[in-house]
Amino acid sequence: VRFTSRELWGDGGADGETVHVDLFERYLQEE
Amino acid sequence: MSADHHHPQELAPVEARIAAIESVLVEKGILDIDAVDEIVKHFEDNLGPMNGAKVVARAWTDAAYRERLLSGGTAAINELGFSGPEGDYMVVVENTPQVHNLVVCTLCSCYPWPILGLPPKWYKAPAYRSRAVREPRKLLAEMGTVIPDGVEIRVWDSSAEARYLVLPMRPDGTNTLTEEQLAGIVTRDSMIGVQRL
Repeated sequence: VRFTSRELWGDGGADGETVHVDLFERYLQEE
Repeated sequence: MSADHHHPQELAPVEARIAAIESVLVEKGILDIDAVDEIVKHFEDNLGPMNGAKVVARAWTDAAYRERLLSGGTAAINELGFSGPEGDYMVVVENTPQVHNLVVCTLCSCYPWPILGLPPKWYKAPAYRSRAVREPRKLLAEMGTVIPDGVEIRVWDSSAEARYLVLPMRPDGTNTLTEEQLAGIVTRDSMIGVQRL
């Protein structure tokens, strides 16, 4: 999942910076 | 002859504690001392950024390998013989003139052991872990790596499963270098993303 710095930190964020987090969990996978 | 010649340096408290635990476990037959030595030797001899550097150098010299590396990091890294715990799911992210990648573990110190070895102390420090996501450009500048405003910074937050490797840009003027020579110029920090080559 990709978040922009502004999405995470609001006015305190910066342009041109993103944070990527792998949120996959095995239990989310369909059987 | 120094004054402490006959007095070996005292163990740090944590070292003494570990040594005591190890000796008790060995005494009780729970731990095999040879197995411990084997593991330590494996970490000392086989794991480290020299492995990641080989991966990077191969990607720089072999376009097909680079494609495989970017589309399926774990398998491509395995091709060079590097695998194991803390490297079961590897994602490789490529630096370009427009994008700079930075790796962190905000939760603790998740790190790709098979190709980078054990993490440096600063990687585990709360200041790095928080500032890498909060103000990466400023943090990098303080670490000596100035990323121009026009270059996007992508921060990759490692997890228990996903570990990241930055594929740095190949430096100019290295066209005549062999793959082995190229591996020699790849640094650990460049593969974490806190340095540009």
